[in-house]
Amino acid sequence: MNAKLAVLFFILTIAFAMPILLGFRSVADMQLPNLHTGHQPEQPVSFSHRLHAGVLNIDCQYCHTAADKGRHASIPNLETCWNCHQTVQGQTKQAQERIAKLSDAYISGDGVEWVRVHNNADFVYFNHQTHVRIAKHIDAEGNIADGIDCAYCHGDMTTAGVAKQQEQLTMGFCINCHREQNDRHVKQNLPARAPVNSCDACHR
Amino acid sequence: MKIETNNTEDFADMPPELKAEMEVVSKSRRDFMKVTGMAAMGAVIAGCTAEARHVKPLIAKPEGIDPGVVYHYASTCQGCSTACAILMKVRDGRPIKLEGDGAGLCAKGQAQLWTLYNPARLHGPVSKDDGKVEWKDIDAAVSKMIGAGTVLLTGTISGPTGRDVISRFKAKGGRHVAYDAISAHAIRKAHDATHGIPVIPSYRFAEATVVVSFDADFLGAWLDPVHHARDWATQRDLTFGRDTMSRLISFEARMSLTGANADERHRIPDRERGAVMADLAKRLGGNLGEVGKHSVDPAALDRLAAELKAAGRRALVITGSRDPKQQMAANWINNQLGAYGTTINTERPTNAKLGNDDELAQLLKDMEAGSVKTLIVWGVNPVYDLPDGAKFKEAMGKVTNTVAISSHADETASECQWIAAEDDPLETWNDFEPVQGSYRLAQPGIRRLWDTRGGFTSLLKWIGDADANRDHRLVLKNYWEANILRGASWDAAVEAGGFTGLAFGGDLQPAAFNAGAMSQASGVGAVSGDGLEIVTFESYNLGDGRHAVNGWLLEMGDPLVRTTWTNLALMSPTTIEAQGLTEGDIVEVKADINGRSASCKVPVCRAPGMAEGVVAISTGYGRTKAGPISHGRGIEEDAVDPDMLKDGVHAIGGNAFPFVSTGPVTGSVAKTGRSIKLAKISEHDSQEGRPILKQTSLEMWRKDKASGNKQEIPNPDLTLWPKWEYKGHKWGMVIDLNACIGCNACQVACSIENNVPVVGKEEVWRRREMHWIRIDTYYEDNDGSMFDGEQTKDANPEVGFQPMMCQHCENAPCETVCPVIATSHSDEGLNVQAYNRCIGTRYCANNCPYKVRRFNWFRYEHHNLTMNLVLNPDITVRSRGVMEKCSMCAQRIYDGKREAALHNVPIKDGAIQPACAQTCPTQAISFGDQNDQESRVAKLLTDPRNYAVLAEINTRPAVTYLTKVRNRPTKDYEKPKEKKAH
Repeated sequence: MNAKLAVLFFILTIAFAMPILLGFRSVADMQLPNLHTGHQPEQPVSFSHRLHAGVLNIDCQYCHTAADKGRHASIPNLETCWNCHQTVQGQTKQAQERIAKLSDAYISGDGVEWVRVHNNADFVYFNHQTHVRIAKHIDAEGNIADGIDCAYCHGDMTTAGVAKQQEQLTMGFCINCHREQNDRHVKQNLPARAPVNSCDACHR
Repeated sequence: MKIETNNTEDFADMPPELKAEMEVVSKSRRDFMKVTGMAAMGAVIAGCTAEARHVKPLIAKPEGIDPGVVYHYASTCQGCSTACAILMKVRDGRPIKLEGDGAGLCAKGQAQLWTLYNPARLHGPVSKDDGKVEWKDIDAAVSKMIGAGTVLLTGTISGPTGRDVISRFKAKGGRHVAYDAISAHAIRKAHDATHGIPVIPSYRFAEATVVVSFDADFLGAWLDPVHHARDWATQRDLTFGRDTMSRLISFEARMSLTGANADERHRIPDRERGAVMADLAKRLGGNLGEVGKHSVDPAALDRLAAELKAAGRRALVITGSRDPKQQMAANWINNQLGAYGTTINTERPTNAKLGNDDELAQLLKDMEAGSVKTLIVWGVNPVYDLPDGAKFKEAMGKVTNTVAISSHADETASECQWIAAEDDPLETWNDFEPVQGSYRLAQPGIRRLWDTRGGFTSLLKWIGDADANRDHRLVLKNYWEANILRGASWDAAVEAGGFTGLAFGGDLQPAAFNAGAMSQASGVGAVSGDGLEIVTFESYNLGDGRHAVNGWLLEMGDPLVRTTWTNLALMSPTTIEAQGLTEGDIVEVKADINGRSASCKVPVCRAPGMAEGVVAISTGYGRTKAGPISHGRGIEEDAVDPDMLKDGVHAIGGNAFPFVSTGPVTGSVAKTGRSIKLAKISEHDSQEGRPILKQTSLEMWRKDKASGNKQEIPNPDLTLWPKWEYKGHKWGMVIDLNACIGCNACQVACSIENNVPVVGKEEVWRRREMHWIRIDTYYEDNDGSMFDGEQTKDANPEVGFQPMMCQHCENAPCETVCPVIATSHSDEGLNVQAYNRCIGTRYCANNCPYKVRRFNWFRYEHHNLTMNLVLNPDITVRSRGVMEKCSMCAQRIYDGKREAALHNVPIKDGAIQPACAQTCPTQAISFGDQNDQESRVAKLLTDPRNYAVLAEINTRPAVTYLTKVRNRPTKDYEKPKEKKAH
């Protein structure tokens, strides 16, 4: 083996070993900041969106109550969980264990410390109310809907398990939609209000 | 390789700290590459991992409260005893901004938030012997002390429930004494004598066409400055077709905010004040005894008397004197003019200051005689703020039991055996009656941060009242429902923050003037004493000292001399020269006042417009037990006197209270041999003949509405850029220089709203202060032409104030030079700054003709987690290396747009208000949409007084100003000065 090959082999070894050393499961996990598509941190209670939003068809805002009121969609207070789970005890052993954890946290008053899934940078000011309550969404066929569907940014949570980031949520992602929607609004003689050139709409 | 600049002579006087800073950078280039390489690699690795951020929601959600949503609660300001109406902006259970409800709010009122989160507050009850104790211990001990011989010493307590609690305390045999550090007792005494009612009347500046102030700084500090300023400004407004203005004539020793805004100003030392008042009374047909020799031109007094007679009952003469005789002289003049009933109202007097100096003096005597067994000091700091503080401290030694109800272990509380840790005003319920018949409530905006308790609860507990075990809200509710509301809803009163009604049998009866009482004022015109006069005044920054460790206020800058982080020995340039001093010399000011010797050490500062032979020192500074200012970055050490710090004392400036007296004080100044460089926010006080703050006189303006504003702008349409089109909104701001009084409330509002850091004395000294808005103070010669020199030599100059912030230029010089487009023009006419794009070249600041961009030289964020609670979560906390500036409160603009869109209505003019405009006591600042032809801003743009600063360079700012109009004899402010031959 000549020296060149040895160096190459060494570099490749390091390249593959690095993520493992740093705690990633694969090279694909290594991403630039804010491109955490697929980010799915482990939660203290493995809450299933598939079951609640999908099978049981509970509206998003039943739990994320502030989504139409302010900047944060809000994570539900344990009381919201307790509302149902003081009677609903789960059918599988796994589910019963999770619910027991939840009950303990509620009764003891300790609460649950969830792990944030969508980590936008500190300098980004996104407002849920604007998008959920005020904005109108016009699809390619020209159908107008009140509010942007949650799934547009969060993906289809009715089929997802534990919460996971499904879109890139970069500035490009935002701006592309703003541009497209503004064009469609203009076409239908509606006020085009999505900021495109005003940095202070999101950065301040 | 050393950095070249480090060795050149240009940098010889570079401060050692800065040199050390440069040394760090001056490693070899190779080292530098190594370090940056490592750092870059670190950054890449760090970027790969998503830092786990945790969220812990509440167990149960309070109804109607959502995370991240702002709620406003009506309450009452407790920054001083005036009790203004405020709205608390509460987000996620913590107040993050206080705003005036209806009339604006002064700087001190807004800045109380700092005290709420200050970790130097007491965290629980304390005993001098045992340190931290339990509430039950202190309650058991103090309960036994109540009875005859117990004295409760407080500040002004105006609330009806509060007074009721005090009377319950008195019923147990106790005695109550109230005093105000900045006393207004002389006004009450004078009205007791002349009208038979011991009250401080309400002054109605909105009714007055001629106001004469004898050292009553009603726009800056006297009684109720915010309401006075708002009322006064209504008479100065020349917009929308109004064409009359009131006149303000001021007689004063130092230059006050009131004097700076006066149309005519006379400089007199305090000792001549009585003589001038007696002389004026004489010219109005009175005889107040002999008139001493004074320095005011008799012709000017004749003119003034004629003016006052013409104004009649629309005139108002006030004085801030502590001498009851002078107050009686003012009463006589006002009565002579018929002002009682129009500009002065005794039926609905103010309760802003209820202190009684005579009772206080008696208390001191009783303490010295040993007849006081227990002293409970609540909410006041007599050891610090009494002229005879040292004597009081000594007398406390003769009192068997000493108890303090205080939020801080201040100079007085730390001398007491027990301290009942008091809530911050924003943590507790309280009530007030600022003006007779107008009641206010204060409600908590946050749950108690520490183990503290409301003062009333402590007191009730100690007298064994059952109400002690109730929430103080219920105590208030019960009292209000029984005595005040008379069937009106308590909930509605809480929602409105107060209740106005005639609860106690209506207005007081109008009282007749008793001319016979004037014999008590004999000798008012006498002038005695000679030599250097020492005058004291209430600081615009720290007030009476309760705000002593407030970073926002310490860094605010005195409105007139623009100095931060200390109080000063203010002297006119001539006096400084006559005393053989230079600016920055630390002097020891000494005086002997009726056998009591007073002294304090403060730096000398040049103050244009002061009377000759007068030294003025502001109160509120020189606190020795105010605690550190809890900020980090060594600011605490920067700010305090190094000599004091060596002894472990945190004192900023010197204490002026020992010089407070009812009469004039004669003293001396002596050099200490030390000197400091003053941390000034602006060192240049002249426009040098350029039309930056445009002005004219009322007569000239009446002839030509554009007088003073005749600047020709060559090629106004010349631009390198394609013309901007604003399809939606175009935001703009118009500032009426006629209304701006230079109070600095806007600056503090801006700093709190926008997380603007406090940088400390050293950094201000390096011109690195971070204020997004500043008030430029300009001094002008008073001689009838435009002043074009560097520093006015006029002993009695004219003063102009101009708020200056990012002008949001259409052709913005900053935008052109940013290499990374971090600053750009928005679709709505604003110049926006994206911090995350900024790489810190500072080209923009260099190219900005208005000097409004600020650079973060350090990571200025608070180091203390409790202090961080004050930050506005809707604004980025900027990091080191980033440029920042006024955003026109972008967050408020978008909130306003969202609110309108939510209800599907157009944005109402005035619904969006930047923090500066919201808080302005005189409504000098208007903000709105220039594209909306009906908006106030669009209309003011067409006013002939409207102009843009530096219009000649064609930056086309979105911020414009209205010419200042002075109500004085004709003066052509555009006429160049005749050059005198040498």
